[in-house]
Amino acid sequence: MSGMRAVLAHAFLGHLVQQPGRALMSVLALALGVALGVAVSVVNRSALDEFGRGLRTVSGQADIEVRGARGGFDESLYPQLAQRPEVETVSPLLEIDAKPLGAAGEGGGALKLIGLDVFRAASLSVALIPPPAQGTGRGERTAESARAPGLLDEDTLYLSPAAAQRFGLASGDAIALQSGVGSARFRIGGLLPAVGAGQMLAVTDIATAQWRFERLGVLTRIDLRLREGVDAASALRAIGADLPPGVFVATPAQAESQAARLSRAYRVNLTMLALIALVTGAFLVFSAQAVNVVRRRAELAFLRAAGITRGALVRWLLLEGALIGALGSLIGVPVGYALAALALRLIGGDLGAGYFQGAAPALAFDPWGTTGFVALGIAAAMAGSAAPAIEAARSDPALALKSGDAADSFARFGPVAPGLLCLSAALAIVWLPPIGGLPVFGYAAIALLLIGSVLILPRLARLLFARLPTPRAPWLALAVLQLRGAPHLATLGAAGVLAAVALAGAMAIMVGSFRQSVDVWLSQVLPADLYLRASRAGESGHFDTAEQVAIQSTPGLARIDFLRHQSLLLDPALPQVALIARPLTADRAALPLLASVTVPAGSIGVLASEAMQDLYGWQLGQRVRLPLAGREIEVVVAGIWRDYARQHGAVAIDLATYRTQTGDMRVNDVGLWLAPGADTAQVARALRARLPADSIELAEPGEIRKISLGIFDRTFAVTYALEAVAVAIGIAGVAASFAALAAARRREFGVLRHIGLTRGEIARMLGAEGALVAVLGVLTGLATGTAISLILIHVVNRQSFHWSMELVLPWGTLALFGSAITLLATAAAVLSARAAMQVDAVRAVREDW
Amino acid sequence: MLRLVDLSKTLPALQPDLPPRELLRGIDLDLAAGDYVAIMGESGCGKSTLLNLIAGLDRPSGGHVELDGRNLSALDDNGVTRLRAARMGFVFQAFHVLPHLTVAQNVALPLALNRIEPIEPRVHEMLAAVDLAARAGSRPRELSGGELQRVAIARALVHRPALVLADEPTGNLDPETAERILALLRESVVAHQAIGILVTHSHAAAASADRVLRLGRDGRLEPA
Amino acid sequence: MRAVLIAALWLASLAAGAAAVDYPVVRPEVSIDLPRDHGAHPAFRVEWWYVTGWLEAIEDGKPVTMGFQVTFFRVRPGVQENNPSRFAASQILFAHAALSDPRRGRLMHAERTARAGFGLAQASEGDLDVRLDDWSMRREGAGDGEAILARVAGRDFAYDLRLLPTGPALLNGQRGFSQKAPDPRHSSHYYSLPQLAVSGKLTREGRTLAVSGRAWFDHEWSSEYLPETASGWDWIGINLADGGALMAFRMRGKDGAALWAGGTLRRADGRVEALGPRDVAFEPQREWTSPRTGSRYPVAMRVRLSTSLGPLVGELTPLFDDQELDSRRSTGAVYWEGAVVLSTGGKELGRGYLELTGYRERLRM
Repeated sequence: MSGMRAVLAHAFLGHLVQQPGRALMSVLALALGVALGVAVSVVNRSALDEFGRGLRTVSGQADIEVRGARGGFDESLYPQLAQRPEVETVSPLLEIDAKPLGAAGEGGGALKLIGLDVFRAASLSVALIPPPAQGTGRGERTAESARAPGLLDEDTLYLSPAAAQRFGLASGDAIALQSGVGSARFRIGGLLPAVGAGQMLAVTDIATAQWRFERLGVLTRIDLRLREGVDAASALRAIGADLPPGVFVATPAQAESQAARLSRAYRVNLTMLALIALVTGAFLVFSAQAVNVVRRRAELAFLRAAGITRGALVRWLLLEGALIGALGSLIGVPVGYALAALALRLIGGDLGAGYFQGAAPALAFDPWGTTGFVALGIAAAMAGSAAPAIEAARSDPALALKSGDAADSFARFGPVAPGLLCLSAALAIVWLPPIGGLPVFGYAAIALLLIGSVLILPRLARLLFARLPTPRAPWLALAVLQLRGAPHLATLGAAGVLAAVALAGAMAIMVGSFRQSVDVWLSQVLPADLYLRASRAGESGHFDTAEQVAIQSTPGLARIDFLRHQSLLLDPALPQVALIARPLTADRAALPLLASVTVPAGSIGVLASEAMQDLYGWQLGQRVRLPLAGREIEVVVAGIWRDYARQHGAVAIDLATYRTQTGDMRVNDVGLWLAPGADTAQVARALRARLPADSIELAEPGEIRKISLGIFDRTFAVTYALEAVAVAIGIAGVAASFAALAAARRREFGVLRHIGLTRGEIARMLGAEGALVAVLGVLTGLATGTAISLILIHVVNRQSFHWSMELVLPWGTLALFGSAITLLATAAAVLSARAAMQVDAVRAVREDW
Repeated sequence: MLRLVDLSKTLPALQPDLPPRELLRGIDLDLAAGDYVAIMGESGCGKSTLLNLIAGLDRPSGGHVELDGRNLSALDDNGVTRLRAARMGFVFQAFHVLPHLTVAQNVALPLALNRIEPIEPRVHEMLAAVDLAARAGSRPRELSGGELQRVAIARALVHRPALVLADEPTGNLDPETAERILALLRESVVAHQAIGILVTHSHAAAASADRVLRLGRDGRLEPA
Repeated sequence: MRAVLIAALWLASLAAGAAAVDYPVVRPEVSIDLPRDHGAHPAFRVEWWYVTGWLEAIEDGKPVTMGFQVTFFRVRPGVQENNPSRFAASQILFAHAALSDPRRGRLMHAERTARAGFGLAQASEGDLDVRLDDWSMRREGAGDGEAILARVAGRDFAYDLRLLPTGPALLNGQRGFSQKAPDPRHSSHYYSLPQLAVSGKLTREGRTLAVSGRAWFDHEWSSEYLPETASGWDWIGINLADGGALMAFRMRGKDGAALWAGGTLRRADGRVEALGPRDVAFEPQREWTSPRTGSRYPVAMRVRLSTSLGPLVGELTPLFDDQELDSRRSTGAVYWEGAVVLSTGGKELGRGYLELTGYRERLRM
């Protein structure tokens, strides 16, 4: 029995060893798919680990965190919490995204500055406490002047090693951080060696932070440790019930999962793209294995005749596929880790999307993601082998032994019912709501659409080729007759083209639509002539009343809109919502409104972004409560607007109303309209003269638009890259299937050479076949791609990022892309013909088995 | 008119220390329209090589092949291919009827290649001649071996070639069918006033020819 | 006075900016005015309220004896004084408590630190009222009803003690002006309340005991305490068996020799005598080496005093040897402080506390 098995192993797996070149393409394609999947997974894991480490560095040993929006809450909450009986230790924190000025600030990026009370934080956030007596040996110091500055010293901050490296600073150096439009100068007291290598942060005393960044009386967070024996869940409830509006309690684990949620939709999106590469790889395996089965028809038929059961044949061929998958995974895993390391170093843990600022993640080992993608790689290869294996098992060995050609292989692959079922299922589930904020059904619908299209492809091929006229030129006529006679073989190649074109086309349509919509949106949200900014939203810069007066008195300005950026915490399980206070009454058009209602007299109207509808269920005209300055106020949703800048929601409120409600007179951004005849450069000079020039940014809408679209393109760069790989694998699949089919048809070419076709004519014949197959794939691919793009736009994007967009079909790009694919496929076919004719056509005819 | 003049073929040595192998040596042969000869020889003696040289699918080491007065060696590959399309027909052991074409389409192929019009009547006439008129629209996989070889014979003769080359045409057939095929082949070649060359190692097959030549181990072609 | 050490080490790592602030100077002519001076003197750089003593209790039917110590310490680090934030660290409070239980054979201790403010940590002026979260030390009542209440809650132990004065305050040095080094710059305002009658509750290992005993209270404030040349000090505060009280200390230089010494002796009849540098000598008798830090402490000492009534020689014997406080992991301080018995010729003269600092490394203040 074992001897039999050895013979079979040799018969099936031996040819992988003897002719590794034939399986090489499949192995490489799977390796690439697995590598991309592992890379995306590892990058995500690394980023999340680092992000989680960052959160744990701050929260340390805390049992509970009390957090508000970025604007913070009143510090009086601190003694209230400290005196609660269930609480043992209370650590007040003020977190500031401080913008470094001068040389250190170049290259952008805020420094996460944590103001803490060292006495309170000491037992909770050990890593953030400077080690005692840094620098010199304690016992050796004799003079007062030799002492290193400490955390309590004015204007002293401590840097994490990563931040020190990033800004090129060492102990004793000076750093200026923006505060308002002024600057707060600090001295580096030393480093925080216990902070992880990936964390970019700075620590200063809480009083210093409050004073220097004009946040007196404000905290952003309080960490608590409960007394021994206190039940955390009930303490969480009890404390939560007593907190002012907009302030919430959470355990550090909840906070971490909430932070992970910030980027989850994006990460899932990337994983899906990696999976697509793997699916295309499976197509390639399918093509290669199908052709392999065709080529080994007689050999397999002999084995069947020799007594191998159908089941055993299928199992052996699946094992062959699994082996290809395992080989691919074996190569893919290290390549994936290398890619991940490269990506982390070059573009960061968020792959350019800007989710994880302040963290430079180290490569993490990701056992689950890695095993998952290895398993998927093997499964993809087995799935790709399944259909050819079943086909091989089904074919009549007697017939296969008798006739030397492959004409009737895959002839039964024509039932359209499963394909139509997939397409109908896709249509049915696409309307279902997201699960856990993820467009699960959208992704499933895309997969079904793709599978369905591939399944109905043979029928489409038959219909299309049957309608082709038979041309006069013999080589062309032979091509058409071949396709007409064996449409199933043609679909092996066309399926790869379909998958590649559908996915790439869908992405092109989606990204094109998105970009167009963002472009239009940018021109809507940037109506002014000039924009003045103290710092990015949430960072430490702002304009006080005095600077606002200075701006207002600048000559040459016709109109000035002040904007205040704050944030709201409406649900502790969801990321913060942006609050934008701006003049709304006269100026509603400045927001791209999708719908609006009139606000009842005496009510405060706010404009909510689409994400507010999706995430908080806000409806037009609904009365909702907003936590403002520690109180809740009732407002009416007066309009829904489109916001591409903030996927977690934004609420716009009239600036005057905001000021009455909160007393906060600061602003972050200013929109400036020039008076007729005023010169932009002159106004800009005048503004710079009135304001500290090094801490303000002046930009024209055109520049902002350019930068914004630049960020957009960067965000999609990784998407494009993954997509390009999928397309490349798809085309490789097409080329592989052509090459193998051509090899299988060597005898036919020999006959044609005898009958009197020149080499050129045979190459042209194959080229024509390739072109026709590619055209079939491109046309069906474009149709499927357009359908997928609709799902991407209206389901996946809407549910992941909560923004809508207008469908734009980039016909030019698609036509160009389709032609390029057709051309490539034709070239691949011609090349495969030339390769096939290298083998002596004459001998091929006599090659009898 | 087919002339082989001092035709020889030397194959490169299989191993560097062995001398080159002279497969064919100084072969001279003149065949006229209506001649039907059989060439016999042991396996590996060079029968197929000789056939390839005649068909212009291989180049001789010495001497040359003339068909209807044209020296094949003087033509380039495309020239030889065109000559082959117009003036030669082939019958193979494994039939090699193109699977995706119907019986009629297979037979029409040489006509299309030579732009001979009208195609339909001639295909019909040819199929009738091999007794396959009823199977014109059939696919090759529906046919038996004997039928397939009759299609191949029709395809080899439909464009009235000057030369028909048959390489072991009955090797895959049972003796009864083989006998009928050999008779059909002979009849057809003679009817079309073509030169017929039948390569075989079956004495029964060779017996159907007018004349039998033997290709010896020494590479010379001599009457049997 | 040991609290100085801990907080000083701590603050040294946290702030060095003291140079910018003008601290008041301790002057001999300033007299101590009670009860007002029980309260805090926030302008001075350092200040502490410090209680040590012996406790007795009955546990499982057997008498047990323990030492205890609780200190509240106030520092003005001289930083953030212009910072309008309510978190400004212009005053920092530190509290430390320890329990010397011979059954355990080691010191248990707990501590708290906070910047003054928000009602969570404060040291009142005008009378003794210091609190740090749920730890506190305050004075209540007057005359016979006068008491100091000390409350401490650590992880391993907690106590809630009532300390009743049995006599008037003992002003150390020259009417409360206590010189610490040859240069009178290094001095403090310093008074003690010896022979305090203790009653209250002690909780440890989950069991609460009723305790009683004798304690010693110190209150001291200064701006310049240790000279740069000092490496540490030895200090005792002993409630004498006859109702008298003895405080003595010496400052050691880097060579280990005394730079300065001093003390106060109150006799049973109430007469008080100040002892000068030539009147006080400490002679190490036996050293104990800490298995944790490797420091060698002279846990048994002979104290030689020259008094107006002649020499007084006593032997100090610890309640048990390992009364080292190792807080390298939090404040970084390592020293020995424990309950001791003062005796002569086998006869017990009194009980109190011995403090040995600077035996690991030089102190920084």
